[in-house]
Amino acid sequence: MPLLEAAGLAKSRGGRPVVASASLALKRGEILCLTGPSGSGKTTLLEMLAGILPPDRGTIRQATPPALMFQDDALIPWLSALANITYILPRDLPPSGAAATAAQWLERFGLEKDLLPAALSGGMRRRLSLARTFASGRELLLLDEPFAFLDDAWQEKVAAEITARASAGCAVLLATHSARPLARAARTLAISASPVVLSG
Amino acid sequence: MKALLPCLVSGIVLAGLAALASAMLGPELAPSPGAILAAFLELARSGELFRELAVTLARGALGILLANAAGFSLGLAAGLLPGALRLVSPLVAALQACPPILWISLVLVWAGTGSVVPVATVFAATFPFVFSTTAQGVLGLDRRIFALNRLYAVPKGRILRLFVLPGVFPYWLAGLSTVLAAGWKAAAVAEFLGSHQGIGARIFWNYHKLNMEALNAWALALILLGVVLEAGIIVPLRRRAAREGSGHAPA
Repeated sequence: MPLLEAAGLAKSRGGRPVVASASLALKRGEILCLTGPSGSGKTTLLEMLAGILPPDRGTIRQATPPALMFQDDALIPWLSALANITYILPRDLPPSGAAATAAQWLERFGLEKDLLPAALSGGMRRRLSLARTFASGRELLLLDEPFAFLDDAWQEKVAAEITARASAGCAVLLATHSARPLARAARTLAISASPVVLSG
Repeated sequence: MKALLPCLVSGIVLAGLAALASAMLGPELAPSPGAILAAFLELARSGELFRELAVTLARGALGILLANAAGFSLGLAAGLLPGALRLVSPLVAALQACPPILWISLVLVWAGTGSVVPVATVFAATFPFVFSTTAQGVLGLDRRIFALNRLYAVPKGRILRLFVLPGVFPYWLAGLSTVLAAGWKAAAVAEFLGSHQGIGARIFWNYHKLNMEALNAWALALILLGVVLEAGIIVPLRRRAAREGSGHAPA
């Protein structure tokens, strides 16, 4: 059974149709890359699939709550890297457990826990945003441009982490300019038309 | 010494103006700077200056405290419910446009003279500003974080404690400096027209009796109070607000 299923999604923004018709299904253990140029509607599609942007038409069925890595990080400027992660962790997690989980993910992504987002480079903020998404522990991961601002070495590491999450049973959907770092592991759907017409 | 120089220059200019007025109008209508200073020192020596000062400050502080409690909590609620903010915005704009004299007249009729008039006037003069700056602070928060909150079902207490309150704090702090500056002036005006105590009331009684030396001495007390509040509280608050607004403090 798919963890995520969408059928006939459509969305207009500012009177302009951005997504005309998008249907897709994502199974446990699967990695799906949505590729396409800037402004092609990938982010709008991802936000609809995450449930934070209501579609004008179509249906979405999530078998499990999703985690979304926002395109522009969406970090809280006055919280440390550690606190940005513990902020979204479930309330039933004890504070020490939340801090330990966050610290573990920060270490995996090569980040210091006390730094504020303003002290991080673009690539580091991207890694923090990724760490937060993975730390959520959710099984449906929606990642908007996870490789942006990352150097080749970090792109490889992030691709390995995504592959590991999929191997652990997560379903991963990425919007990206290039699926090259995940070329062997992922199924790719290319968006070439605007508004988006997609089926996969 | 460098910081005191502008105060010294201002003091010399004020003394020069008082001396000029005294020379032109005569000492009965415009006492000399020396006579004003002597009257001021006598007020301080007798303790009357500090008693009346305490009354004015207490009233101003209470009005500002009440305005902040009400304005901050209601502004927070209105900012989180933009529909409600749109509904009450004309009312807040109308309240902001009301001159203090209107509130003084109304409260005098409703409650008579006493502490209620200055406290209510300070409240009415500062509440709309606290409300607006707080609501604007909430509206200035990153809307993506609200989406993040929904997505991860972040508990409301955590949202308030770690996101909303720290995000609104610089706006509130910047507003507080303006509120403090306006509040004590409103307290003095309200006392002038509707109270028997406080610096404003002393100015009124000495004006009524044409006791120009005491009138000028109380005016000097009012000016000094303004300078002390400005230098001791308002300027540091504005600096802190600018710092908080440009790079937020860590959690």
